[in-house]
Amino acid sequence: MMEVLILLCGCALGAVVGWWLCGRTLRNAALQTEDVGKDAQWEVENENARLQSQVDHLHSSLQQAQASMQNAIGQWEQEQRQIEHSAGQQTQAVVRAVVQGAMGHSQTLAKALADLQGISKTFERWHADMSKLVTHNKDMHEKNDEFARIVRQMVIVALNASIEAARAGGAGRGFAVVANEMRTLSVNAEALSKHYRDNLYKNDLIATTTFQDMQAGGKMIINASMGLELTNRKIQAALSA
Amino acid sequence: MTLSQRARDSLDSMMIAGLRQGMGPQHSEMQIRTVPAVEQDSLTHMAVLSIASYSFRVIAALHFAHDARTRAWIAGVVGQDEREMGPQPFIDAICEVGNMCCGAMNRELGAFYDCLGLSTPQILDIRSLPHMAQIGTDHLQHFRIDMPGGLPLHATLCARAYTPMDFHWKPPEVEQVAGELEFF
Repeated sequence: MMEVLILLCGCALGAVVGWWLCGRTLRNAALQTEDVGKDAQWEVENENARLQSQVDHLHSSLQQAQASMQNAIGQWEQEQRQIEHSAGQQTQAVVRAVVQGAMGHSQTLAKALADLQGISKTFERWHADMSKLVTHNKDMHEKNDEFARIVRQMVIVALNASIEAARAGGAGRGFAVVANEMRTLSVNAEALSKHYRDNLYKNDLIATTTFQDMQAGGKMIINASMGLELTNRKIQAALSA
Repeated sequence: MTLSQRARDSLDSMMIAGLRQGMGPQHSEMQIRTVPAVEQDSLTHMAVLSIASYSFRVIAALHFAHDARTRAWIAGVVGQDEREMGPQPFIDAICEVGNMCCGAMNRELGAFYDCLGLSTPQILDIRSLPHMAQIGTDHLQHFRIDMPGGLPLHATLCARAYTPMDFHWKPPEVEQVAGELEFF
């Protein structure tokens, strides 16, 4: 028992000694670690201070660079505005000159088209001439009809003369020759009158259709001119806008 | 051939459609057909009109008799009292029918040709008609207009093309209303 007790006391003593030795070792280690941390902290703080100084220096440089850049941008914008203003003024002047030129040409065109539409007066003159021609043809028809009546009368007279010459017998033989000749001339004159009448009707048709062709062609020109005038007005309205 | 066959046929169809339009819708029983020649014996005058373009010319003529029967007919067309219609209003009314006919042709030709012009009508003696073939033509076609009362009316179309002319025109189809079923 005593032995056991001694053994227990020995163990307890050993444990206390061990505990003390262990604590001492730990305390020494802690003290050494604390010394190392203080050195490291000091170095870190020094490094931080140095870096902060560099950062401050760089920040200052950056601010200066930004200020310089903003100045440069400001100058560039001002120059750009001046260029744009100048270019705009030049463009406006060019456009204004082009519009004025186009408007001038358009006004000239409008006057020319208005003058062209005056061609209707020429057609009125042609119409008057055509009416004169038709009246003249009508007069020729009447004269020819009168001529045809005379010729028909001559044919009858020549026929009667031939009959009278035949009645006179031998004494009227010479007169019969004259009467027959007169009859032949009358027949030829009648044929000529008929031919002349046909030609007058043909002349009426040619004169009428030729005049109508000119008149219709003139209306075609006026219609085209009116279309151009309308387009020209639209161009003027667009240029004035 | 300067004037193609289908252009000739188209012009003939336009002339027939124009005559129908010029004479008004009251002549629905009127028949118009092409004939080889115009029977001039019953006719005295013709109203002549021209349609002109740069490249062609069309002459249309409406042949009529200057008599009481035609005056009665034309008075009905223009809605005037026959007894009050003197010689000049009679001629004016005939010219108006010709004008309507050629105006319709002019409009239809406008679908194919941009620049066209129509003349005013002129009255000529019917004895000028035989010379129509001699004034220079590529296409000459006569028409007989059969009216219900037997009124003598004819027409002539004369076309000349100065450059090749080819187009195809068909008259507009008339809406068919007959044959619909009715339910009571």
